[in-house]
Amino acid sequence: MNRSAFVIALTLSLGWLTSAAQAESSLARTIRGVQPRIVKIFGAGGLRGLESYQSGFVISPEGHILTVWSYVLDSSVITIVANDGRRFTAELVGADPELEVAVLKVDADDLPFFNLDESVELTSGQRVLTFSNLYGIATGDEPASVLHGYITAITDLQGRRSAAEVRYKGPVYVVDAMTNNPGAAGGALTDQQGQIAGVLGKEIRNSSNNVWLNYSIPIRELQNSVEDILSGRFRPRSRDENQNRPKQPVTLAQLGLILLPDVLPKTPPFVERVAPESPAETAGLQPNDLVMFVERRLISSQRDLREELTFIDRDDPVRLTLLRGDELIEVTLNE
Amino acid sequence: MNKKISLASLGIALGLFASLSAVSQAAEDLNTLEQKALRAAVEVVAPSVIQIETVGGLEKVGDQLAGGGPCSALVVSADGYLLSSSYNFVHEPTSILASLPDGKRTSAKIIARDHSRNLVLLKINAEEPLPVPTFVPREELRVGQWTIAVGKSFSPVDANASVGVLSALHRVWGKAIQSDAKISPNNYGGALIDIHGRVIGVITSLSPQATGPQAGADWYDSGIGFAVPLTEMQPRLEKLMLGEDLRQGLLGISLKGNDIMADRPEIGAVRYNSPAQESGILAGDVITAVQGRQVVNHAQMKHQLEPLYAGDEVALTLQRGDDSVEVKATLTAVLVPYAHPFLGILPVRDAEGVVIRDVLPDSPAAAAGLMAGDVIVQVNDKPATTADELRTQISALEPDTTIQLVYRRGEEEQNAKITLATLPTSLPGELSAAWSQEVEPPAQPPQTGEVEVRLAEEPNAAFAWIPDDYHADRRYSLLVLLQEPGDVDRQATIDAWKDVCKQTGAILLSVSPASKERWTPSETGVVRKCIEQLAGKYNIASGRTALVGVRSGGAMAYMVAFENREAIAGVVTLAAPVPRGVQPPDNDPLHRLAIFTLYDDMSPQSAQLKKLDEALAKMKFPVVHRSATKGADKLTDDDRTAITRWLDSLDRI
Repeated sequence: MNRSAFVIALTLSLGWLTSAAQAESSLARTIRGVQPRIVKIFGAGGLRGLESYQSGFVISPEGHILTVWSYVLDSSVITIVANDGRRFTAELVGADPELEVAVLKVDADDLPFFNLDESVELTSGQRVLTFSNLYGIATGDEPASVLHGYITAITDLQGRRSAAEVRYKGPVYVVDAMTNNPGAAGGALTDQQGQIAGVLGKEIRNSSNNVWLNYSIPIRELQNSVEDILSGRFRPRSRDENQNRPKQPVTLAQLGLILLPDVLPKTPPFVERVAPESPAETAGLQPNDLVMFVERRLISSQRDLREELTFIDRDDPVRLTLLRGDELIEVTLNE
Repeated sequence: MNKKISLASLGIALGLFASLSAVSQAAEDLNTLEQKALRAAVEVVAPSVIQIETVGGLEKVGDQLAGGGPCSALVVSADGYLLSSSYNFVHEPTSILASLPDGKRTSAKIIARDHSRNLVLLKINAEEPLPVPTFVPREELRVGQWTIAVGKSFSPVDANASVGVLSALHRVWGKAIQSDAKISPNNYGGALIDIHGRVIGVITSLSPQATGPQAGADWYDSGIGFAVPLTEMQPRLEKLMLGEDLRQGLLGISLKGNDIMADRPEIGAVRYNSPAQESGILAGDVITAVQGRQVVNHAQMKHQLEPLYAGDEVALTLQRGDDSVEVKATLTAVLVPYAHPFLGILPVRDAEGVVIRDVLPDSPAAAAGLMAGDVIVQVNDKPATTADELRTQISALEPDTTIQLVYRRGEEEQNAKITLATLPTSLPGELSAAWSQEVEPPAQPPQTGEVEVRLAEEPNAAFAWIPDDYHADRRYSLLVLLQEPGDVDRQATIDAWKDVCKQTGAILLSVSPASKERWTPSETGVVRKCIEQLAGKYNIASGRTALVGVRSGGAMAYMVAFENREAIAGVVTLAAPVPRGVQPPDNDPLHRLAIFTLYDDMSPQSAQLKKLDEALAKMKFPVVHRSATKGADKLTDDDRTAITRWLDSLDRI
C-alpha cells in the first residue's frame, strides 16, 4: 500500500512537471504561429497626440489585411510593415464606417493569414492573447507585442443611446489586458491556441462609468461586412437609431405627467403632479413617485426620460417602473 | 478488507492513468485546468456580488465626470446588508437600486459609511435570504497566490472578472490587501477572491497618501488595486448596521523628525484635549510598542495606528527617560483644532540663549513689560537655552494658560506671570535687526545675485536671487514665487523684490509651471525639489520659508504648503482660493503654517475669499489679510514690504 502510494505520487509529480513544461512551449508555439500574420500600419497623424500608426492582420492568401477604420488610413500613402520586416504600400479596398473596420490589400501572396471562417467564439473567463503594435514599439522585423489576459465580460458596447463616441453598439469581448492604448487598435485577439476571435477596438471610454475600456469586436460580428468589402458589393447599412423612432412619439404632457422643475443636469424624474383624467391618473401614479425604468431601461434623469419616450409611439402602451417609498411598482399607461 | 483496499487503490490508479493520459494528450491542459479553476471560483462568489444602479446626483465631482453607471456591492449578511465602495456614491445619487440574482430589482439605502476604508454599508429589502460568501482570514493569505477581482458592472447576472496575483498583504498602512488584477470602477464594491471562490476583501479605491472617497481612483487598471479584508470588518459591521459611521481614530500627537523610515517615534508635541494628553503621554516620550507590537520608526507606528477607528482603545508602551511606561488611550474621530500659543517676542537669531529682538505690540509679552534686549532665562522652572527649544516648549501649552517666566534685564533677574495668547492675525510694523553681531566676510564668497535653479528631470524654469551680503553663518528666510503660466521677466522680478529681501534677510526663488497654460497638481513635487536644491547650497530656515502666488500660482501655493508642512511655514496669495477638492490639513504644533491673503475687498470674489479666510481661521491657522487695490492682479511695492516683514516675523514665539 505504502509503495503504491509512493509510485502514484511519483507519477503524479512527473506528470505535472511535463505538462507544465509543455504548456509553456505550447504557448510559445502559439505565439510563433500568430506573429507572422500581424502587420504594423503607418499612415496619417503624428500631430497633437494623434499617433500615425495602428495594427492589423492578414486575412487572405492574396494579401488582404483587416484593421480598424481610423484617421490613420486617411492618407495618400499607407505603409504596411510585415512581421519579417518587408515594407509594402497598401491600397484601401473598402471600409465599413458603422463597424469602423477597414480592409487593405498589399501586393504579396506569401503572407501567413487567418481564415475568418475558422474564427472561434469566446466565453467569459477564457484565457486570451492579444497581438498588436501598441505604442508603436515594434519596428522593422520586430514582432508585435503580445499581451496575456482573460475575457472579463461579454457585453454590448452601449453606454447611453446618445453617446456619439462609437457607432458600433453590438457585443464585445472586454479583456483585462491593457489594449486600450495608442497603436493597439486593429490588432488580433486569439484564444490560447492562436485561433482568431476578434479585432482590438479603438481607444474609448465606457460611457456609463467613464473608465477606459479594453475591448475587441468579435469576428462573427464583422465577417459579413468584410466579405462584402472583399467581393466589392459592400453598401453601408444604416444602423441609424432615428429610423426606430416613431413619427409621433408619446410625450409627458399626453401621459399627464408633471415632473419637478428640471433644474440640474441630472434632475431625477420625480412626479410633482398628475393631470386629472389622464393616462397617468388611470394607472394610479402619485406625486413623489420616482420614474426608475421605461420598459427595462434605467432612467437616471429627466433628460433620459424625455429621450426614452421619443422611441415610443403615441398610440403604444408605456410600461414604467416607479419607486414609491422603498417599493418598486410597475404600471402601464396608455393601455 | 484486503480486497477492498486493493480495489480502491486500483480505482485510484485507473483514475490517475486516465487523467495522466489526458494531461499528456494535449499540452495546453494545464492552462485549461487553471482556466477552469478560475472560472469555478468566480461562479462560487458570483451570486453574492450584486449589481447596483444609481439615479440622479451630481454630474461632476471635483474635476472628474461622475460615473453613475452600474456598479457592484458584496453581500455580507443574509438579511440584506451589502458592503460597497464609497467611490460608487460620490455623486450623491437620489436613489439606489439593487438587482438580485433572481433578476428582481429592489431599492437600496445607504445605512452608514466607513470614512477610513472608503466603504459604504447598504441595506436592501430581500424577500429570500441572500447568499453570504465565505471569507478568508488574512493569516491564510500569501503574496503571489491567485486573486480574482469580481464585479457586476456589465450585467446583473454574469460577473465580470479580472485575474491577477496577490501583490502585498499590508498596504495603505495595513488597511488593505493589494492585487495586480485590474481594479477599476468596473469592480469597486465587488469581491477580491481566492482560487476557491472565498472572499479576501471588498474592492475599493484607496491611497496611502490621500483621503476621501476618490482617493486612489486615478490608479485604476494600473496593476495596483486594493481590497479591504473582510474578516477585519466583520466585528465592525454591527456598528455600521446601527447607522453609525466609522472614522479613523486619532491620538493627538506630533512626532519629531521628517524621515518616516529613519526617525524613531519620539513625541514632539501632545495636543491639548486629545486622547494622548488624557492618557498622560508627554512630549519627549518615545513610542516603543503599539498594541504590544514593537515599533522603531514613524512608518511602523503608522502601520499600527492608522487601521484603528475612533472609539478603539490603543495600548502604547513609551520610553520616558530610562523608564518604560504603559498607557491606554481611547481614540477620537475629531481633535479640537490646535491653536498655537503666543508669548509675543521675536528672538535675536545669532545670540547665545534667548535674547529678545522685538516685543510685538499688543502681545502678552508687551503687557508684561518685556523689552527688546531682555534675556529669557527660565520658563515654568525649565531653563530656556535656545529659541527653538523655547518655541517647542511653549507649543505644548494651551493658549490662555499662565506661565512663570524669569528674564534678565542688564544684570538683574526678574519674574513675570504671563497669560499666553494665540498667534497674531495682524501684520507686524518695522522690526529691529535680526542679527546682533557683525560677521567677517567669508574667504570664498558664495555666488550671489541671480542663480539658475534647474532640476535635471523637470522642464520647469526656475531661478533664485541671493542678497549680495549673504553669509553662510546666517540662516536666511526664503520667499518662493510661484509664477503664473507664461514667460517671466527675470530682471523686473529681481528689481521689484531685491531691496525688501535684502533688508529682511531673505533669499528669493522663482518657479514657473512647465506648461504655458497651467500649473498641474503633480508639480507640487517640483516646487519642493527646487527648494531642496537651493537649501543644499544656501543656509535656509524652513520656519521662515513662504510661498507667494497670484491667482493660479496662489492656488498652487496652498497645495504645495498643505503637502509639505515641514518645509513651508507660510503662504501668501493674491486673489486665489484653495483649489476645489483640496482639504487643508489640521493645524500642527510643530509645523506652523501662517497664511497671508490679499484681495480686493470690493471685488465680486471677495465674499468667497473671505469665507475661505474664516474657514482657515476656524481651523486655527493664523490668517492675516490685507486689502489689495481695486482689480489688482499684481503685487505692489507696499504689498512686498508687508510680505517680507511678515516673513521676517515667522520665527516668533
